Amino acid sequence: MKQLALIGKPNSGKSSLFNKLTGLNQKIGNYSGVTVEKKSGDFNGTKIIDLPGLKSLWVDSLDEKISLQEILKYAEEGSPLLFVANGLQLADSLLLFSEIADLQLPIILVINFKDELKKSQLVLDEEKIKNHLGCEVVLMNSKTGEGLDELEKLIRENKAKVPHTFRRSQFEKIDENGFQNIYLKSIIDHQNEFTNEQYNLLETDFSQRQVLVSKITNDVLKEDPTKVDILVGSKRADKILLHPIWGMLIFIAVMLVVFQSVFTLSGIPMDWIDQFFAWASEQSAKISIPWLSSLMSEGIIPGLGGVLIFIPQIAILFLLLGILENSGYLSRISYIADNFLQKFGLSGKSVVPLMSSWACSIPAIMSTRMIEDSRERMAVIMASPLMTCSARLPVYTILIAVMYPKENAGWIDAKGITLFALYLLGVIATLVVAYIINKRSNITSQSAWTLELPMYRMPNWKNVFYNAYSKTKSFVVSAGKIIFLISIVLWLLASFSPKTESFIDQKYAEYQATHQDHASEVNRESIALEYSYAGYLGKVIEPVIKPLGYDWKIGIALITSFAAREVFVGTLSTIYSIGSEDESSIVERLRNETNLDTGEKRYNMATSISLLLFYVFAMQCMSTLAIVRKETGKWKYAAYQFAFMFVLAYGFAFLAYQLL
Amino acid sequence: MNLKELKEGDSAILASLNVSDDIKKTLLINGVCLGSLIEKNYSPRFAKLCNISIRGKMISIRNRDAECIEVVKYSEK
Ligand SMILES: Nc1nc2c(ncn2[C@@H]2O[C@H](COP(=O)(O)OP(=O)(O)OP(=O)(O)O)[C@@H](O)[C@H]2O)c(=O)[nH]1
Ligand SMILES: [Mg+2]
Repeated sequence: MKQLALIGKPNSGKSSLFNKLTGLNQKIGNYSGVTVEKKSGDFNGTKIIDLPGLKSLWVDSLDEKISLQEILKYAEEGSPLLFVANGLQLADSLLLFSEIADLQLPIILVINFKDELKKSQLVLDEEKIKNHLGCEVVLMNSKTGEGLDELEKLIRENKAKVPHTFRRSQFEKIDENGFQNIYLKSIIDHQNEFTNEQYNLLETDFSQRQVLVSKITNDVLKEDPTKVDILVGSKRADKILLHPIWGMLIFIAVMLVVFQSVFTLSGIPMDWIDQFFAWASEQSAKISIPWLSSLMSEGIIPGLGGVLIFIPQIAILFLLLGILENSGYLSRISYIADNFLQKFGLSGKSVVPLMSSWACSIPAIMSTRMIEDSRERMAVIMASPLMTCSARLPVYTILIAVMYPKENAGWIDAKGITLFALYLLGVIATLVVAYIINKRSNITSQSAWTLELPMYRMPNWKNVFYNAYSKTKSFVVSAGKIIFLISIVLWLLASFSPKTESFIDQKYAEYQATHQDHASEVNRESIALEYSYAGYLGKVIEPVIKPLGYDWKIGIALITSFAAREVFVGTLSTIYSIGSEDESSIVERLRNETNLDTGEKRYNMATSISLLLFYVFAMQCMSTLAIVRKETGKWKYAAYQFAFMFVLAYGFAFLAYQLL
Repeated sequence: MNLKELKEGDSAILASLNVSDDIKKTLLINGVCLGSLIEKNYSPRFAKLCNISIRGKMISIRNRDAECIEVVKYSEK
């Protein structure tokens, strides 16, 4: 076989099977719409293709359209499909199977969830179902890989067969042009327009398929007299988890646990990383080549260390969100929130993209493909970058640490509350912006809405851990690369000056004479930095940011962080370590930074809050803009998003600094 | 009797979908089609959503749509 594409209903275990066949690690989750794009891998020379789940060929969301396009292509080429059915929902899966069988493609049918079939005491007659459908059938468990050998053998031996058709009579007609089968044509056409007549046809078509399918399932599934309804556990759990009082309390508790774990569990490993970079910096200070020693200990190492210290927090956040996605609870949050979100023109479907924005808005924006309503989808794409993504976390943490010098005891402290307030502000901003975009949008809204509640399941731990690991790794690699480059450039700009040493000596002496009240707090290096290339460059932008309470150093960090937010911390670490002799931490250095004009601390309350607000609102992520362009198809939307977020950021930062 | 009026735990057979065309399509592709056997699940009032099991799948439908779905109560006797 040259290629084999995985097709099936959402959440039927396609990606799990894909991973088993190819050895790759595609994301798995226990809700519909995890996979939203085509991915391919290799199995013994056969190209295996994983596709988004499909509810029916009469698609209505973007991710399903991708699958439909592929299937239509395969139908033309006659290339084979691996249909993955959910064994516990066999009748449901066979409805889709019947639609696809009518396209006359070669198919191998995998009936998945063998373990759960067994648990519910259902026995499947494999021979009978093969006869009914006319293709090879494998019973398996995609989670453990049970049954995989048999499937692999079928693939190697090229055993895909065109199944019996179910029925096409609804889409067959005889007119002046003779006999016609308009099934395929209707499927293609319906994406543009659908007539009332077609709707009626479809309704009859579905009920007749339904009858045929239930005849087959009644024949092939033997119900043990002791049959257990495997959904009973999930139904019972829902009575608590969806309860107006208990459900809400549990939801709040879950959020608090996620939030607190990110900050408490990460403390110790963060200290280790901090100590490691301090040690590395000390060691590199001993290098005998002076420029290299300075570049390493004042440029690269502090720059990298400033950001890499956040690995534990980010990894824990990714891990906990992964567990939520894999347990089935995420869909319950969608359920609980649906009514509330409707007030903002969103729905429960927006919960998945919005909550994944806490990790990163890029996958979040991609996941909006499963939202059927295009108006809601646009609102989520435009607003979700306002949710607090993991790249904002380093910025917030550093600034909050600078704001509150005292270590508070106790579980929830001023730092925790401030951070929580920032997350909350992100959520409020997202909802308000979504509301406005929705109101102003001229995209027609779709009123049809359904939500699937998957049964609760144990997460696939290996996949959850691997995904948290790989996302953290890509954070480290991408942030690392930018910061590495920026710290070298900054070090160069900040270490050299167009002026002579004696000019700086003279300026230093002048400063000492004119600012006697706080001259002792300012050393010669600070003055030298002011007259370095970086200083001159920074002064150019200073007028723009002065009203927000920032100096040119913060300005440079702001500009570099338009590449990605976390670069802010790396940049500040580098700028503030240049010329400083002590090996104090970045937080200490920020705290001690003096405003050369007034002699007061640079990071006072007003400046810190103004900076925090700037980061809450500003769109400082090139990759997000690129994905917005890709998902909306127009640069216009990305530009619009950048502009309104910048205006909000500047406006709020300005107000905060001026009023405080 | 409509879908919303069913009590938790009741089973029923779908008799007619008196909804607009686009909603009908969404229901159909979710397997909510005439002749299907469904069971009503716990549906808290605050959420304004009606939960059912259909072919082993649990799905929620907006109450305003559920009110337009006629069902016939089903008993195994
Ligand atoms: N118990 C059990 N769980 C399984 C089996 N196969 C998959 N799962 C679980 O089913 C859920 C869905 O798996 P995925 O592989 O993400 O399903 P998918 O078909 O790719 O889903 P979409 O991408 O949303 O269409 C996950 O929670 C898996 O761990 C199985 O054979 N047995
Ligand atoms: Mg998938």
